[in-house]
Order: sequence, then C-alpha cells, then structure tokens
Amino acid sequence: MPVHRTRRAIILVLVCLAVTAAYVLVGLNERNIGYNLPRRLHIVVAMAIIAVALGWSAACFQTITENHILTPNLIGLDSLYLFIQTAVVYYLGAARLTAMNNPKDFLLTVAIMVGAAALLYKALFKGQHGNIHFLVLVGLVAGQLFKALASFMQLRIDPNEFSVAQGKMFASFNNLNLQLTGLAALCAGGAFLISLYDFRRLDVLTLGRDQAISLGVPYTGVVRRQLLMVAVMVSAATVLGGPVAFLSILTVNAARRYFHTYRHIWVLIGSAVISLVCLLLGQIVVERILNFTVPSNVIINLVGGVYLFVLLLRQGSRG
Amino acid sequence: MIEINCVSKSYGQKEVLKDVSIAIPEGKISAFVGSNGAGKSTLLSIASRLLPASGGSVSIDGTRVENWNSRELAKRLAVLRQSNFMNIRLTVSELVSFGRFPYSQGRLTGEDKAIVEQALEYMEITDIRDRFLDELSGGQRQMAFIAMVIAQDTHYVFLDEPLNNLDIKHSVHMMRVFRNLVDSLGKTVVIVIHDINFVSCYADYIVALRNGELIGAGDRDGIMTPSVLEEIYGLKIDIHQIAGNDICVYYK
Repeated sequence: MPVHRTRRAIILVLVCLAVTAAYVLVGLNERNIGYNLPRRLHIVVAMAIIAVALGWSAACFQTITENHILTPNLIGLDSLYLFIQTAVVYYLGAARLTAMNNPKDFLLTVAIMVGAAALLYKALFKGQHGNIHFLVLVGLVAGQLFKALASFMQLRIDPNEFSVAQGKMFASFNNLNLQLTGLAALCAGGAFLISLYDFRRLDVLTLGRDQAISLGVPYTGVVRRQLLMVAVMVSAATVLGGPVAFLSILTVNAARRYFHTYRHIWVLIGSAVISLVCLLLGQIVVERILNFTVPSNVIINLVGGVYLFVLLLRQGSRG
Repeated sequence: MIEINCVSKSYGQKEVLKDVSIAIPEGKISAFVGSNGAGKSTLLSIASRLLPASGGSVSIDGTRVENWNSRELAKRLAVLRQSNFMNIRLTVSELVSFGRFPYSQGRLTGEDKAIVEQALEYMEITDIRDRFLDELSGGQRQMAFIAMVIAQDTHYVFLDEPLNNLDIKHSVHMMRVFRNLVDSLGKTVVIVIHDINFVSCYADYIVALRNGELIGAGDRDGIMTPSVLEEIYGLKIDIHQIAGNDICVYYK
C-alpha cells in the first residue's frame, strides 16, 4: 500500500502548528500580551532550533553507526556538558555560572564540547580500530567518566551553589537569552546545512559501509564530516536548552515509522517536527499543569524511555 | 586491468596476507579459492578497495586504487560482500535503484529507470519487485543484491561467496548469470567461492591461496589437477571426467 508522504507531512505540520498555537495563544490577554507573547515566541524558536538539530543529528548518527537505538549523546557530549557546568560552579562559584549567559561563554562551551568530540574521532580514525562501534564504546566510557567526575564535584559543592548548578543540568527554556538563541541558531544552522549536503549519500550509507563504498560514497570523508557536524549540532542544542538528546531516539524512529521510509529527507522533516511537538507539549505540561515544579526533561525522559522499551521489545521479537 | 602488487595485510601481529601479486585477467571469471582463513575474502576486499592493504599496492586500469575518484571508480568496479544484513526496510526495486547511485546521485533519470528494469528482468525477479527484502528467502534476496550490482553496470564485478546459502537451482542460475556477464557483456567477474565443482565448471582463471600466501594462479586447467588441489585444500581429491566436466570427488 503506497504511503502518501506529502499528505502525512502536511498533517504532521498542521498538528505542530496547532500545538504551537495552543502554547503561544492560550491564556494571552491584554494585560500580559506584552510580556508573554515575545517570551513564548522566543521559546518556540529555541525549541525549533533544538528540534531540528537533535532530530537531524540523531538520524545521521544512527545511519553512520548502523543502529537505530543509538543517539549522539552516547558519545558523552551530555555528560561533558554537565561536567563543564559543574566544574565552573566548583572552581569559580555559582555567581559565575549565572553570569555565563554571554556569547563568549556559550561559544567557549560549544568549542570545548566539539573539540573533545573531534579529539575522540581523530584518535580513533588514526588507530588500528577505525571502527564506529569502538568509537561509540569509548565515547560511552568517557561519558561515564565525566558524569562520575561531575557528581564527585557536586558532592563537594556548597548546597546553595549546587542548586544553581542543578538548574543548568535539566532542560529548561525558562531563562533563554535572545543573543544565545541567535548564536545557537548560527552554529547549529551552519552545521545543519553542511551536513544536509550529504543527505543522499546518507541514504546509500543505510546499506552499510561496504555497499556504500561500492556505490561510490567517499565513506571516510562523509563519516568524519557527519560526526563533526553532529557534535556541533548536539553541543549547540545542549548548551541552549540543556540535555534533551534522549528525545531524538524517540522522534527519529517515530518519523521512520510514520513515513515508512529510510530516506533521510523524510526522516529529517518527521523527526524535527515530532521533536518540536514533544518539546512544546512538555513545556505546556510543565508551565500550565505542573506550574514549573517538574523540569520538562523528566517528562520527556519518561515518555522516551517507555518508547525505547517498546522499540527494544519489538526488535527482540523480530529476532 | 587490475594488478595486485606485493599486497600484504596484517591485524596487529597476525599476518593474513603475505606478499601476494597477481594480475586479474580481463573478460574472464576469476575464482579465489582456498580453505577457511586462507585470505580469499581479504584479498577480494583489498582488490575492490573495501579494505586498505598494509603493504603493496592495487592498481585499477593503471591508476592506484587510492588515487581514484570514488564516484568514478563506482562506475568501473562494483563489489558485493557476503553479509547483507540491514536494519531498514527496502523493497527489491528500491534496492536495485541504488545501483544507479554512481551515475545519478539518487535522482533517477528515465535512463536509470530503464536500466533498473533491465536488471530486474535479467535476474528474473520482476514479480517480487515490490516485496520487502526481509520478507524474501535468502536466495531471492541474493538475486536482488546481484540485480543491484548489474544495475551499477560496471566493467569489474567482485563477489564474495555469492553462492552462500543458495540452493542448487539458485546456485546454477547465479553462475549462469556470471558466465553471461562475461560472455555477452564482456565484463570481468571475480568471485570468492568454496564449491570447487562450480569453479571447475564455470571459472576461467583460478587464484589459489593458503594461509595468506599465493600458491598458484593460472588458467583453470593448470590448477584443476589432483596435486595442486591437494596443496590448496590439504585433502586428497580425485578428478573424474563426467559429461565433459572435471568433477572433483572428495566426499568420502
């Protein structure tokens, strides 16, 4: 049975617009419009950047690793981010972290994360084991190391300062900064465009490394470029909104199922729009129903975790 | 013309190919034979640019393999490895269309579509064109992959154990297709293959390896002798003339 992808895409976009409208417009009145409207629009824009960056980077990462239940946060970028935030509080104090909302610090954090990823890639592609799964494994271990170091420092931080650090550890869209959103859009957008250049080659990569080489894809070049761009996108999105990369495992697979295709262009559209819907719904729940008592990534992880289970069980039963 | 010069490959301390030099003859079926672990698949992977050699060089049409533009080389040489596991759902015709990627980079032209159609017909799989690969039998799936290679329309075709998991009928069909690619289309086919009797009946040229070393390369008749076969396989093998073919008997 043919799947009408264009029709499905239109339905998805309409749902997304409806959710966006629900978020932006509900509860607006003459008194609060001046404050709420720009704030909410800003949140939507930031979420859209994160949705596209995470959705696309996860799709690329899964194709490159030939595994549909991985996300780029496996190579430890989330943990590195936590480590950097905690280290700043630990060594420089909470006041410094609160003041870290300027472009210089944003760029520095992104640069450190991308630099670490690049170093990891470089070490791996040079060595004997130029092997993607080995890279994921090393990233996983490095991520655990950063996480452990971060929690060690957290234990030694003054509790008052810790609460400031904690605020940075969860996805949050409640204190965005216009300048940073612009910068994130610039970083993630640039990486996105470079990465998008390969989207047809990524389609071929779904056949696996050997077949892609046989069909004329310059494998090593494409993989390096993609992994680097994935690191830039994930870093920019993480610094902007906090660690939410886990979400992408859900959205990429949902997009593949929804459009019944391996083609990256559809997976991209699907996962970006579904991510945005999820982030917005999470935000609506956090803002309007729970009155900010629960950070949105708790909800996202809850839903994402359940979906991951379903995926694992399905793969298991297929043998 | 593909020339392999003093190629070696090692993983850490383990040397899996030692100083192998051969020239693969044009317009023939060449078979790489040897026991498990002899280095056949490694040699095929190196010759078809899937694997870098640790030493030595491979040149294709006079240009060293690392100096080829990957897209241009994909119009000249196609390779199919044995493991075709995929975690995506593809239909047969989608898979075969990938064969046109080196020419159209994913945007199929009318000519590409016609060639895909021909490849499906050539492998006699037009009736399963819209089925998903994971719903097919191993033999049908293998036919689909070969159709992709045919759609790629390259002068050199490298296949690693193409008869793996195939029943007798599919195996014979497959070997006839290779014979046809060589005889009517003038292509050069290189295969890694275990069944020595298929080698005897279909191959023109044989490259024999043992423990990573080349122990013989030559026309079929020169290699298909009891003494050479014993050296390759470490087993006493009788050769009988049956219906005009040399048939090896080694089962008891």
